[in-house]
Amino acid sequence: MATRTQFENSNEVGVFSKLTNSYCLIAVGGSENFYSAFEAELGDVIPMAHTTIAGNRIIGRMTAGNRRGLLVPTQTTDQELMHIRNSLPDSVQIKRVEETLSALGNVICCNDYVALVHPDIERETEEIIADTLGVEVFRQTIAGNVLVGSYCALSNQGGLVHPQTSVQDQEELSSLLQVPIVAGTVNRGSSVVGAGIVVNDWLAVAGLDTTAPELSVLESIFKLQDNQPNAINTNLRDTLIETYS
Amino acid sequence: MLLYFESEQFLTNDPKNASLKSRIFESADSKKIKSNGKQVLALVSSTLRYQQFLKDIIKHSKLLKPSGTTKIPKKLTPKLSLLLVHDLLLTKSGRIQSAKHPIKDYVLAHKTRIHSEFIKLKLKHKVKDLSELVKDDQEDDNNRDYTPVRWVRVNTIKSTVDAVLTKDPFFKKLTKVDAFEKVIDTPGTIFHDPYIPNLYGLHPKDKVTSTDAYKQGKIIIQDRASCFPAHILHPSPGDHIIDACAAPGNKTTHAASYVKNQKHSIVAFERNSARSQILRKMVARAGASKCISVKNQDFTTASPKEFNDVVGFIVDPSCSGSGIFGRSKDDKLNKNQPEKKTSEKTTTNEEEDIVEENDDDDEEEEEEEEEPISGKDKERLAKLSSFQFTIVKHALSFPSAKKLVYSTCSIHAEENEQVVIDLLNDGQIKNAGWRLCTRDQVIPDWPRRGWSDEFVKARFGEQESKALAEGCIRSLPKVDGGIGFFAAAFERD
Repeated sequence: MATRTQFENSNEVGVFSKLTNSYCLIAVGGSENFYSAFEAELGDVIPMAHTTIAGNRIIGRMTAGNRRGLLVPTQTTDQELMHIRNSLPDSVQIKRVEETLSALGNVICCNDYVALVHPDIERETEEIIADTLGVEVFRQTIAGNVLVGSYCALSNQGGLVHPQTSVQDQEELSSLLQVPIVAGTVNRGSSVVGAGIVVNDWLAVAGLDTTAPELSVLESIFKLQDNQPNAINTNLRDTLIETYS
Repeated sequence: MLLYFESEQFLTNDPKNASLKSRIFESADSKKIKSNGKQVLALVSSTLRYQQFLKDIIKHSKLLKPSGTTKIPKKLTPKLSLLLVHDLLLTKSGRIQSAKHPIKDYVLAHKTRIHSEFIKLKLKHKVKDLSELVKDDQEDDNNRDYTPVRWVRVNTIKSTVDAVLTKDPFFKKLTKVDAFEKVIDTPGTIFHDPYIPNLYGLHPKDKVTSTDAYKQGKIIIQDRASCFPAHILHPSPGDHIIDACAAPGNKTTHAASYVKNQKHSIVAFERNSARSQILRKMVARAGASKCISVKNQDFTTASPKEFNDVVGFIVDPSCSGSGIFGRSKDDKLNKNQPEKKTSEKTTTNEEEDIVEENDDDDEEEEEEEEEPISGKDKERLAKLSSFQFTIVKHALSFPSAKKLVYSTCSIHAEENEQVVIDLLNDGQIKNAGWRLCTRDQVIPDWPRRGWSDEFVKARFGEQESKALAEGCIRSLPKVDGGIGFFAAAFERD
């Protein structure tokens, strides 16, 4: 299922939330609208936690995590850490990472098996990522950008990358991640796909500006519906024409 | 870490050109290294096999590049890192076999990166396992390393065929088959060779070396082809014979079994002192010490007058060894390293092999390279064949010599037919009444004979060439169930 929502007039839902297969973090907001969009889909399936990181609401950019663990930057206060700990299942390991590149969400992009990381992160961080998240760690760039977390949205089913990623790079990434990769945009042409959407194995939440074609690409690459990528030319065709006309 | 420190030295090519296997086991036997020789060999040979990939991984993972606060341990050389990364990535356990050690800790600190580079490398080459990339080599290697049939000769000096085949628990279990091709396919079978008495073929996987019969010297592992010379010479008890290039001594002890182990019948020459030690050991194991007297001397310096009662000769001089496939890939890999300095050696009995490990035993020399013969190889072959000619000619000058068997484990005509031709054309030898034995004296049933073209080229008549070629024996590596081999016999009245 792919839905659209907005966080206090911002389309960058990936900035204000973090979604994995075993938990969901949501920024503390002025209105409950954003929260409801998630709750409608996730319900009681996985726990949701309202939190801030170091007093900031940009939790999606500050943290990185998957089903097995959550990494938070060193600036996270003890109180916040305690709150997150209490809200998430015990099976999820939470680790504070001392890393100069503290916006972990921007420098790490991971699913449950692999993580792409900024080429310059410290070796110790690399180790922590591998141990806490239980993933293979690869130093990578996406379309020449070092902020892999910003320019890539990844689930266990597929990945969406920066629209200018070359076909060759996509193939390389796809063989590295062992999932299909597609280049595309969200939020009506925004190339920061990592910040524009959050995705797990059964749900994607995109900004309100996301167009229908963008959404259908999301649904097909992340396998959120029965429609396969080729459905765009066939049964989705009518929808597309309708949207554009 | 000791294992790795000790293994490190074997990654570099040794100036003496000895094989990896022999270098390692020699060091292990002489207690120069404390680690288990087998373990070191396994580690080093596997590391050499994958070294180009390991080097890539180390380079990309920046393991050896200083970064920030952490310092690279002084002792962590590129070679050592190869071994450590090999164990980390390519062993089943995926562990560096060592207690806590700064170098181990340093490498393990890079574990994640090394591992990810390993995965990237596999993706790049589109393989699931690196062994797929070296697979061809490896298969080749397997073929090279293992003889299709393990030939075992019952040592009639110490035992009898009956005693070994019916009493020994290992041999009792084997089922008899009637063709050596069947032995290749199925372990647990035994084939009685029709050409050489007391010779049996087994599947190479059957562990003959662990049987009591082997340990007690009742059976000797010897390739079928290398049993030919003694069989062709077929000395009778009371004959005095000389083995001119004896080590490691399998042909010599085979000959001893024909003379019924009579005292002082055989003189075995070996010019290399280390190899003459092996020769002594093998002779003692075969129980032929009284029959065979070992001389650590170059045969070409032996005076014919001293041996005026010697009637038979076995001459199996240094050759290119091109019929042998027991040389492992590792040595080649090792030699291909850039720091290599080729020290080409000819006509010396330099190569020393571990007796237990060695099944074809009779090579004196060097590894073969199957590539087309280059200029350098030609030069080497020329040197070898001139040495072979010299040593046979020297043997033929002995006063009471009646029969001589010349053999090589080479497949090149330069060392085989051409040497025979040179000898036949030599005036002194002709005058002394020597001639080449005909087919009916040289295992007539053996189908593969010498190349008559070579004789034709040397301006022998068509018929004569054919007859002469029939008098020579050839065996092809593997096809004939063993090493490549050549044998010819000379006689006079």
